[in-house]
Amino acid sequence: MISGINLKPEQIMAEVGNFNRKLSEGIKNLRNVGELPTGVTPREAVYTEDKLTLYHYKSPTGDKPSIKTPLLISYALVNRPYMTDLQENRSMIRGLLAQGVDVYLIDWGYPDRSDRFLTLDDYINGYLDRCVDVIRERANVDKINLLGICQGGAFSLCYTALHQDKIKNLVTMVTPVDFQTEDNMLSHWIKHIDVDMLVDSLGNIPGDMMNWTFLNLKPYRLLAQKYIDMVDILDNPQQVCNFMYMEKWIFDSPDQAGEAYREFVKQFYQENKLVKNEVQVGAHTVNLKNITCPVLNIYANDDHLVPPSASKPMGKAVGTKDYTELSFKGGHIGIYVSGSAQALVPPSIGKWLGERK
Amino acid sequence: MATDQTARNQDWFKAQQQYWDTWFQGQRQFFDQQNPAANLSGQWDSFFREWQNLTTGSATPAADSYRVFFTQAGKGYLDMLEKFCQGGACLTPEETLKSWTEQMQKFYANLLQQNTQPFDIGAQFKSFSESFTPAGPAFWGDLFKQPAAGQQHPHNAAAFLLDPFGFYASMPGVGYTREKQDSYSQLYRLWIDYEGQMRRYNVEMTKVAIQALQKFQQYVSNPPEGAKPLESLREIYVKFVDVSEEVFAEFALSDDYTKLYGEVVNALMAYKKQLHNIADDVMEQVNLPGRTEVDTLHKRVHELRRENLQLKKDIAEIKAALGLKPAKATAAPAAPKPAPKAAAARAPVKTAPKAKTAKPAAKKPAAKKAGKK
Repeated sequence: MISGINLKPEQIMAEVGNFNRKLSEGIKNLRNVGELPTGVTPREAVYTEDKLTLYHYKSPTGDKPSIKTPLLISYALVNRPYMTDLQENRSMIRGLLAQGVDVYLIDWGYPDRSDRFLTLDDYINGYLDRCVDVIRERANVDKINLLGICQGGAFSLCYTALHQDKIKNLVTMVTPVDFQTEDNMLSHWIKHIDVDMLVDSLGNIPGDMMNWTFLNLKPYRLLAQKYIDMVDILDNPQQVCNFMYMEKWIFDSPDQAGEAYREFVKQFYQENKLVKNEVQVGAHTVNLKNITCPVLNIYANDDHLVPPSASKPMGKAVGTKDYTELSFKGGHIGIYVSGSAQALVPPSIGKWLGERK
Repeated sequence: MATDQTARNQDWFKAQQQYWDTWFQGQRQFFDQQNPAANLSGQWDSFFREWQNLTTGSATPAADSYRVFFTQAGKGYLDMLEKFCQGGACLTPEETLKSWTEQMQKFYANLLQQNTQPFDIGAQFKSFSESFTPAGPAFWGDLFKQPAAGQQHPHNAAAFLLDPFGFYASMPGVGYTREKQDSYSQLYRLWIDYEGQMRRYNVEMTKVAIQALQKFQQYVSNPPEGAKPLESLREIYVKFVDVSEEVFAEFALSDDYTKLYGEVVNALMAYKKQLHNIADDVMEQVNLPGRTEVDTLHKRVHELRRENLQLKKDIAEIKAALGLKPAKATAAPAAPKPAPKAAAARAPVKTAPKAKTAKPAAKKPAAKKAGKK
């Protein structure tokens, strides 16, 4: 006797029949998904360099920003930044514009083999610094606000520590600082990898390989259950669209420039140097105590890629006296796209920045 | 009192009997007529085939292999559905669940056995050498050929018989093609090392799957007190996934796993690196640039570029120190330090080489450091 289940035969048949029906309707709805845009809010490219494009966003309502200091979003090199502007009703950028924030975003582009020798110094003291300068010039200000996401958050911490004179307020989202906490699975996995061998063998690190690693963090859920669950929504055209937007984003993964990846994984993951103030970016050592501007750190409670334990040590690591934490009940991706995130995250950022104009 | 209880029990059993009899009878008729769950996995497969065809335009080999993988992803659940529906004609759901988990257990046990069998060195080498025949050295020639009936293997030394791969792969090359022989021997050794590591990995992952299945069986047999019974196939599947993830996560965070994972990845990368060395060598022979050569060029371009940016930055700073206005068109992308509060012209799109102004700020210590090598 199996006491943990209570199945009714007629219910089994109904469940199977329902599954079949949704599968057959699914093809029709999938066919109607059409082109999947990569960003929905009006924007203008204001600076380009190599593969990089700096975008300036326009409020769809035509409202002028009430917070005059512009905000630059620095996304991770992993995946594409349109996650922040996925759909009209799932757009962190729209949420920020609605809060009166003047939003810029760096799209790092898709590095190819000619970018293999780009270093962290090239990204942080090169590309990022030049984007900051362009915005300062356009807005006619000494300092701008910086928002870093995930790896882009780690870059933003490094940048602010090295260029504090150009940053007024720093916002970090799902950003790790201590890369070697017990529950950080990625950190455990990378421990015994010969990163030099990896980069020397592959050149750039393929986006597909990164994806495979991320999927294997939760293999049963992400490789199997997700697609079984997908069948539930196949008869709903809007939900099919939503699913496909996410699916596109997840697998639209640029390769990683080899040298920058080598430096990042060795210094940040394997040697945990960021929290020890030992990261080297070019000729400079990153000391997080040099960050004296206000810092807002937003993390997700159920984040399996950047667990809260990896992010929360930021409070003690930075030198500022104005440090605020915001925890979000959700995961690494939900923090940009879920309904609750839309209601919580952009308004909180807007309010926090508004209080520090 | 006891008689009342017995009568009630008999009534209950009778009602249950009637219920299941009716159900089985209905099911037999239903399956005879249409069988909605027949070949569910096949349906899943054709669903994704159609989807892939829609999205890729044609069934490319890559798309096809992904579809196969994708199909496998949902197979566990669909096998379960299929089993329940087929079993529905003669088994209770409880019996079907038991049968499903037993089937999975057999599958994993088989997988475990496959990965713990000794190498079929002949088959392994065949697969390896077939990939490299055009560039492969004649050295390997008849290494693993079966001797003709009545004849002895040409390589019948005791060492070869005990360890045919090690015997040859560790032989130093000789003569004119010595370096190439060594290069291919090295490639083969690395490939075998990777295959071995991968099998070790598969064994451990199969053990995890078996452990998860056992934990799941334990849950459904003896659920924790107060736990709500699983009332649909989906709930059963989700519970199975939850338990599996839990068991996997525990293993994936262990030192044993991280070490194993590192060894698999390192073995694969060592093999690929050697493969690239050989590919470079082949390209050189046909007078074409190899990856190493192109990498060197890229590296030099990046170094030149950094020097150039730094020089432009230095010039801008010197001009500022001398009180000279920077020439409009010469501002370096590394040094577009806009003068704070200065009126800024808004060009629609700026590109790095055309960056307009480069008025260095008087006090920018951090920026000064940036970019210096």
